[in-house]
Parts: sequence; C-alpha cells; structure tokens
Amino acid sequence: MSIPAVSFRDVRKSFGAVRALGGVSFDVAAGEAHALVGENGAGKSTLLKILSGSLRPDSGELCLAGQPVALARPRDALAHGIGIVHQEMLAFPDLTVTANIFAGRELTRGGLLRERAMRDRTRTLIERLHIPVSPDDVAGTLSAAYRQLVQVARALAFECRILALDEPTTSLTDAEVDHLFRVLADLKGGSTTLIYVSHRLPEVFALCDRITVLRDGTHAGTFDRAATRPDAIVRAMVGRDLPPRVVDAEASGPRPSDQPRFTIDRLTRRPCFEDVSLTIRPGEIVCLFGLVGSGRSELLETLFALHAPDAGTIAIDGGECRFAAPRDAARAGLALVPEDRQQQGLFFNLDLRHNLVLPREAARSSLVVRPRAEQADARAMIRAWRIKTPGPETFPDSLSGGNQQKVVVARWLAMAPRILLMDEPTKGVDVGAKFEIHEIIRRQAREGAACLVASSDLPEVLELAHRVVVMREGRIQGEIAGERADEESVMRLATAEPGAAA
Amino acid sequence: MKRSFHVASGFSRTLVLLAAATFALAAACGGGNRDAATSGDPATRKLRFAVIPKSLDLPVFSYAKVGAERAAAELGNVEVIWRGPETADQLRQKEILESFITQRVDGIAISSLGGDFLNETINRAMDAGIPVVTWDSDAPNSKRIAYYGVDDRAAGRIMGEEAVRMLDGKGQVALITSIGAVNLARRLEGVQEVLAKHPGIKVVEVYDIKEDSIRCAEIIASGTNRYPDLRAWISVGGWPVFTRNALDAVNPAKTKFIAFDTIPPAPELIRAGKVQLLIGQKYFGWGAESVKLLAGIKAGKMPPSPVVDSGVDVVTAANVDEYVERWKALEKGTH
Amino acid sequence: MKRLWRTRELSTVVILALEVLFFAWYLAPDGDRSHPFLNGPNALLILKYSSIYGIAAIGAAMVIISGGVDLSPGAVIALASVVLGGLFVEGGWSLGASVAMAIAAGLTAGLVTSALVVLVGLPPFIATLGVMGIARGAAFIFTQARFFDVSGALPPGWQPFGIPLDWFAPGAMIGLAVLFQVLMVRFQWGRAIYAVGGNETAARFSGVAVGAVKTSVYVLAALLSTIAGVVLAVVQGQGKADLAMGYELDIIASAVVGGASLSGGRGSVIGAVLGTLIFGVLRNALPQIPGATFYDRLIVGVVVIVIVVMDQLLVRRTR
Repeated sequence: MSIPAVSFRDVRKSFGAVRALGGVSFDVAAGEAHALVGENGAGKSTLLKILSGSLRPDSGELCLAGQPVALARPRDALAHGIGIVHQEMLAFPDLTVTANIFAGRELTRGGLLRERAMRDRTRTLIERLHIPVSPDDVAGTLSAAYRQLVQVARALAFECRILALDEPTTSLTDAEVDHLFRVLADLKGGSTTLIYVSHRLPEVFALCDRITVLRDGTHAGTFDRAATRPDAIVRAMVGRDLPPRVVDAEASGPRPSDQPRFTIDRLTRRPCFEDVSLTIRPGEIVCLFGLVGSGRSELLETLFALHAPDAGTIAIDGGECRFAAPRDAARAGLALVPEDRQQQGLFFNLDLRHNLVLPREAARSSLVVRPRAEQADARAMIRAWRIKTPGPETFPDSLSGGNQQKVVVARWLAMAPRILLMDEPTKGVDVGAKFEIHEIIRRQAREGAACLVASSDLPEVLELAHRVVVMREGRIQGEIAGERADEESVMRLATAEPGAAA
Repeated sequence: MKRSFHVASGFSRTLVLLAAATFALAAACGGGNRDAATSGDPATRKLRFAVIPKSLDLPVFSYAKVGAERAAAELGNVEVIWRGPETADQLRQKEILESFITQRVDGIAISSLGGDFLNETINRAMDAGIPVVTWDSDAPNSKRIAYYGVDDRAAGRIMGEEAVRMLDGKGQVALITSIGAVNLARRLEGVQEVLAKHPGIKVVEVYDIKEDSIRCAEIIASGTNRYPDLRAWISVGGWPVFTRNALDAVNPAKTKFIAFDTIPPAPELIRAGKVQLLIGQKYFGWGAESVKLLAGIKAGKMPPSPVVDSGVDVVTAANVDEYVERWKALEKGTH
Repeated sequence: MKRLWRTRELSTVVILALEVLFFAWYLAPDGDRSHPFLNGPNALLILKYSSIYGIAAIGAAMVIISGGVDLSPGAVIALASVVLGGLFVEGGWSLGASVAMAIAAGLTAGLVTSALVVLVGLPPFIATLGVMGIARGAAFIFTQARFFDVSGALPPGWQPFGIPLDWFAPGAMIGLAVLFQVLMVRFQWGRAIYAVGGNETAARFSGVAVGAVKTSVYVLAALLSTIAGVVLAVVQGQGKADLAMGYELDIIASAVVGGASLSGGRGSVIGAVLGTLIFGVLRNALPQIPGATFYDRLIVGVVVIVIVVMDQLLVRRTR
C-alpha cells in the first residue's frame, strides 16, 4: 500500500461549545481524486481549513506523505505544496490575472517585482488550464467561471501536490463545470492529488475515485466510487438514530377547506431565485429546505419587501399586495425573523426593552416613546418567551445565542403576525432553546398563522413541517407532504440534477 | 443597576488617576512661571497690562512686543501680557479683548483692526475701570484715553509729495492698501490728497490686499504686467517690504517704489535700489510708549493730549546706513 | 440607552467640573486682585463663545449617532452669516427676512447632503466634504471677499426678543439642546436614529424608514449650523465668508468627547454640548497661563485623545 498523500488521524476541533469535528480519521491516496461530502455543518469546511493551515486542530494530527506536520499558518501549507480553491471567490477584482495569481507570493529580486517572469509563468498556467484570458486582464471583468479557474491557477502557481477545492461549482454553468472537470482530470493524471468538497453527488460521481462522508463532525464512511451508488452516499450523509416523529395531540396543520393565506406566484429576483410559486394556508408550517446557494434567504427578504422582485406577485388572502418597504409588509401582517440575528436582528447599543419593542412601534408609526408601557410590555415578553435575563434594561450582548434568538422571535410574534417568515430560526442555538422555539412556531400555527420556515437543518425540517419544499439554486425542486417526507427523499431532491425526477 | 455601579467605579478610578496626573504635570510645567510672576514684594503687586497687536503673523508687531517688555522691565512693577489673533481677524481680536476684560487686567493697549468695530468693547473696558490706549491703529470714536502713533494723514502726504517729486509731476501710479484699518485709510487719504493736486499724475488703481502679504506680491506682479507704463507704486503698509522678493517683478529703472515701514529687510531693498523711499514708524515705541502711558495713567498722570504723535522717519538711499545703525542699537537696547 | 445616558453624561459633567476647579485653583490670583477666571463675566464669555460650536454640535451629535459624519458645519455657519449679513446690511432687507433667507440657504445645503447620502449612496464623509466646499465657495462668491458689518447695521443696544445680546447665544444653545435631547429620548423618531446608527441592517429589517431618518438628520444638522451662523452674525456682529474655518473638527470632537461614538448608535445631544463647554473652558483658560499661548492647540488635542481613551476603557468594561 503506497503512502497516502494526506492522512487525518483523529482530528478534533471545537469552537466554544460547538463541536465541529469529533475525531475524524481517513486517508487520501496519492494521485487520486477524493471527494468530501456531507450536509451543512457536517465539518467539511473546518477540515479543509485545518488542511490549508487557517485553523489548528485541538487534537489529532495531519500527516502529509506519511510525515506528521504542524501547520501554524497558511504559508506553511503552501510550503508543503497544498493549494486551496475557496468557496468564497477570493480574487482581487481590481488586480490583473497575473497579480491575482501571485498575490502575497510575488517573485522579486532585491525588492523589485519580476514582472516579466510572473507574466510568463501566468501565461504557462493559463494555457495549461485552457482559460481564454490574458495575463493582463483585470480579474473583475472576467466571468465567475474564469475567475474560478484563475483561483485554480493560483493554487497551482507553485509546486502544488495537493489541490483542494471547496464547492467550486456553485456559480458555474454546466458548460463551465465540464471545462473545470476536464482541467481537473488533466491534473489528476499529472500526479496531483485532488480533494473535492461538494454536496453535488452527480459531480462527485463523475470526477472522483473515492468518497468520504462526514456527518455531524464525524467520519461516516469512505467509499470506492466504483463500488457504490448515490443512494448509499445519501444514507451515510443523513443516517442517524431518528427520534420518533412528534405528532401533535390536537389536530394540527391546515384545514383543507381554508383558503390560502399567502400566495406567491412566479416570483423572480435574478440572480438569486427564479419562478418561485408557493401557497401557504393558515395554520400550515411550510419548511423551505435547501443547501448553500439555494436562494432561500433572498426569497424571504423579498417577500418582506426588503428587495423589489423583478417579476411575479404575492397575494394575501386572495388580494394582491405590493409593498414598498418592510413597514408596509409588517402592517399587512407579515413578520420576518432574519437569518443572522447579530447583523440583521439585534441592536447592541440599545437595551432589551428597545430591541423588543422597536419593530412594533415602527410599524405603528407611533410618535412618542412611552417608557413605562414599553417596560411593562418588554417584561411580559421576557416572561412569556422565557428569555433568561435579569430584566429589560440588560443589553443583548449579555444573552446566550438561544436567548438572543428568542428576543428576535419575540419582538415579531408580539405583533401577532398572520404570516410568519423565519430564516434558520435555530441556527447556533442550544438544544433547550431550539425546542422552545419549535414550540413557539407550532403555537403560532395553531393560532392560525401561515408559517414559512427556511432551514438547512434536516431533522428540524422534518419535525416541524406540514409540507417540505425543496429549493436548489434559486428554483423549487419539488414538494413533499409532511407525512411522506423523510431524510433520504428530501436530500435526494436537494442534491439531484436540476429538473431530475425525485 | 449592579453593572452600572461596577462600571462607574472602574471609570472613576481612571478619572481620578488622570486628574491627579494632570495636576502634577501642570504644576511641574507651569509652576515655575507662576513663581516668576509673583516674585517681589507682595505688597506692591505687579500691574498687568494687556498689549494686543492686529495680528501675530505680521513681523512688524514683534518690535512692539520687544519695546513693551523692555519698558515693563524698566518700570519694574509692570507685567506685559502679549496676545493677539493669529491672523488679522476682527472677531478674534474682539474675543481676545473681551477675555482681558473678564480677566480684569489693569490696562489695555491695542492696535485696533477694524475702525469702529471694537468701540463698544473698548467702552465696556473703560466702564469697567480698565484704562485703554491705542497704538498704531486708532479707535478714535471710542472712549479710549489716548492714541500713540504716527499722524497717518501727514505721513501719507509726505509719501505723495515725494512721489510727485520723483516723477516730475507726470505718470501713472498704483496704490496698495488694505481696507479696514483706520490708520491705513488715513494714510491713503493723505496720499490721494496730494496726488489729486497734480493733474499729470494718474492713479490707475487702488489695490486692497486684505492684510495678506502673499496676495500683495501677486498683485504687484500682475499689476506690473497690466500697466506696463506704470511709473510708481505707493504702498501705505509694509507688506511689500516684509520679504526680499515681493518686488522682483518691478523694474526699478522704470518704476519707483514707495512704501511704509522700515523693519528689516526693508532697508536692504533701498540699498538694492528696489525701493526709493520708506516711511518708518516708531515700532519699539508702540510697545514702550503705550506701556509707559498706561503706567502713568494708573499713577494718576493723564496724558496731556489724546493723540500722542510719535513722528515718522523718512528713509532714502541717502540716510539708510545711518538708519540701520540706529536700528541695531535699538534692538540691542542701547539707545 | 437610558442607563448609558446616566453614566456617560455624568462622567462628562464630572470632567467639566474638574476642569473648572483645576483652573480656578491654578489661575487663582495672589493678593487682593479679583479672580481672572472664576468670575461672572468670564463665565458668560465662555458660554457666549462656546455657543456657536454648541448649537452646531447638537446637529453633529445627531448625525454621528445615526452612524454618519458631517464635515460641513463650519461652511454652513459662514454661509448663513454671509446671507444674513449681505441681505440685511447691503440689501436693506428686514432682519426677519434676512434670517429667513439664511435659513433657506442652510436648509438647501442640508437637502443636498441628504440627497447625496440617501439617494446617491455616497459615504457621508465624502458627501459632506463636497457640501462643505460648495457652501464655503458660495459664501465667497456671494461676498466677493467683502464682509458685512452686522453690528454696525443694528441699532445700538438692540436686544433680540428683549434678551440682552450676550445672553442670547448661550440661551439659544441651552434651549435648543434641551429641545433636541427631549426629541431624541422621548420620541420614536429619536430612537430610530439610535437604531439606524447601532445597526442599520437590523433597522431596515425592523421596518424603520432608514432613508427618511437619515435625511431628517442631515437636514436638521444643517438647520442647526445655520442657526449658529445667524447667532454668530447677530451677536458677534459680522458676516464673513472665512468665518468658522475648521470649526467642524472642534464640533465633531465636542460630540465625541460628550459620548458619541463615530461608529454610530451612541452619544447624546446634552453630551455634545457639555463637550463643547469642556473645550470652551480650555480655550478661555489656557491663554491665561503665562507662557502657554501657543500650547493651547496641543493641549486640546491631547485632551481629546485622553477622554476618548477613557471612554474606550469604559466601553470595554461593559463588554
């Protein structure tokens, strides 16, 4: 057995209380194309960051060509011949292709840049990767695909023995993906080891020799591509001991006779999402499931009038609505609990009373601040939603993530919305708060609200949803009724080729 | 509530440390100065006279400061506080004057920037029991006790007459002034009065340079360009001769230059032939005489007349060397 | 927000009190002379000359709390003084009409600023820098570098609204400060400013009309600078295009010393006025220290840094 190019031995990494990786071990053979797959949050990006030297593992070790190495910084990884093409396009849009490729690692002689040498090297790389650009083109003017390939060229500019790509095809068209794959196949032939991180199984099966599955930060299996089928991979990605589905004692869910509360018709906002149509009835919880890049957040923000759609309409209780600003949407009975509570939800310069009361007062266009009434309301909300804090005069930074999320949820629910939009309502929230927030959502539905919850947390989706709608790359892939939804069927829709049958 | 208390204690700790540091630093730095001011017999405390020039950026006033401080040293019981606006800004000068009133100084000597603008403030000082004298530039309609300086109109007339003599009564003349100060206006009147009597002399333009020496140089250059037949420049202020190169554009063979003020490097310009005539004021006297006047007033001796004429020096190539020798002696304090 | 008000403004008051006490001790005269610093007329003088900065600092504080910055106060003050002076002294307009036109000029500047920031999306630094140049330039063009002697055109002993002239400026400053402090704390609109400054995205997501809030803040700041310019022209007596040069930095420093954070969401109007007084006392007292005439700029700079550093320590302790 030849020495593996890369070996992970019991690698562990935690961020505070959150465990990202819990003892991952597997090998990557020299010269192979090795896929790393898993759900959102399974630990793929963390593992890659450890490989590229951006993070150091809490314990365990990384071996390159059989030798254990300690990578203190990305420079060390580069020195060992590890090149990374990141998920977020890290190109410098105002610099030329040459400058991008050599950024941070310019060729110099005595402090002066060796322009000619860099340009020549760039030309060689460009030809090798068949990118039809010139070394002096400005990166910002290139298409996403070519910028992606420039990233690959950057990784290859120095002796690169291990090339890792993190979700490289998210923004590429099919033709561009083919081009990329041809390039990667070439590289594979030339003794470069490829590590390909993706959740797109068709691509993985097209390109890679072996597939490692991560699940919840642990190693869930390494498979030979030739000896396995996508089904098995999917099962490994999600397979866990599922708690029995909690079914409400009282009748829950929409009554079939009810008129739809919220109708979305062919809503489009390029380039985020296109042709989205959906109806939600009062009392119904629709979960919008999708992986990175599916456009769910943008859809919810457009529904709440934070952005204007390019095409399509929305209707509430049958009457078409056009909102100029979020305040109008709020007045009409919508509420949006945003994805990023720190950036989009909380005011850290104001105390809890203001945080809880502000949207309601904004929607009402009230003139005067009534401190005593607001204090009382805030106290009532804290009690009702069991927010763990001494009182409304504390500031949000003293709350835990779960309680912060409850504040954001509480402020909107206090307005008794008829349509509740939520984006990742339990992201970064501890188990106890998660359960409470789920209960809150269910109670809202029972009281007649139409709920649209976007989530990439599959168990949450399955627990909450009366109906699961799967989005992929800005389009609705399909719907599965609550009873018939299970992890495999949902994941299959989420990772399938666009347009393929479920 | 609990947290705000914790915050206050940490903060006030820093605050107290800082206050202590400031006190210590200030005491160390400025303590010496205070002692100097209060040395001497506590029974005969020093009189504090404020001397306020038109601005701090005109070098001509620094001689007034020297004169004032020398007179104070001679008198022995006088302390001079020299303070003025950084540039010729009427509002700033008013603010400084008001500040001295509230500081209750014992006397004020001021070279007023703007005509009647300071009258009300000067009157307030006088009403508050602070004697005010003016120097260099008067505020005649205020309640000021006395003015020490040149008879501006007469000085202007001298300049006009010399210009007429040099030009044989014929030719184009350009005038330079700065609108605002009374003394400059009077000098200008004197010049124009004399020139008007000679029909052969034509005043092509009166330039207002707003007390800006740099603008003055620009104007001389552009004026020389515009009026190629210009026979003479007359400047009622010293801006053109405060530097050596403001007159580079002027051709001395064709155009004569007459200016006010003789402080260095002006005499050199006479020696170099660029300037034909300078009117000199008693610069050291501005400071010295004003201080002596105030001291006299405080001792009960009012000046015999509200206008104390200092007289002028007329400096040409003929007597420039002697003038410079006298100046050096004055500077050394051995006059 | 309320709890921070109590702590931060209180500490500013303490700093001001310490400062006054320090100079009262340091400048104490010997013998039977009266105190040059600690006397009634001097206090009034400090208030009078600080009020020009103070009135404009109210507007600056609101802008900074909203997350922006305003570099135009000095230029707008000059423009207002020049419009008032020109129309009243040379144009023969009535005082009331001249004041109205000056206010119109200032409001125009404010509308231009808000349009640039809200509609065009320019960073406030750039937008107000541009308006500063335009306003200052307009003032110079209007005056052709003359100046207008307003005090000469007013009847002697004239008192605006029956208030002695020297009391008018501080009275205006205190009155406006109280008015705007109440607006900021007791009205939804004021809270919206804190929200926009604290987290503009969250404000948008919460249904706050962010564009309207920002527009109002820049327009009000310009209006307050205009009022400061009118007060300057009437009380100090001149309308000149080169007035108030560089005031914007002192005004911003006053707001920051009084508790405003340049990253937005914190501060208060009262704090800004207190900050103005801190600098006003320094400006008045430092020249009275023998030998310190040219040190006042240096000391003011050091004081700003020291107070802001203390403020940072305070903030860090709360986190």
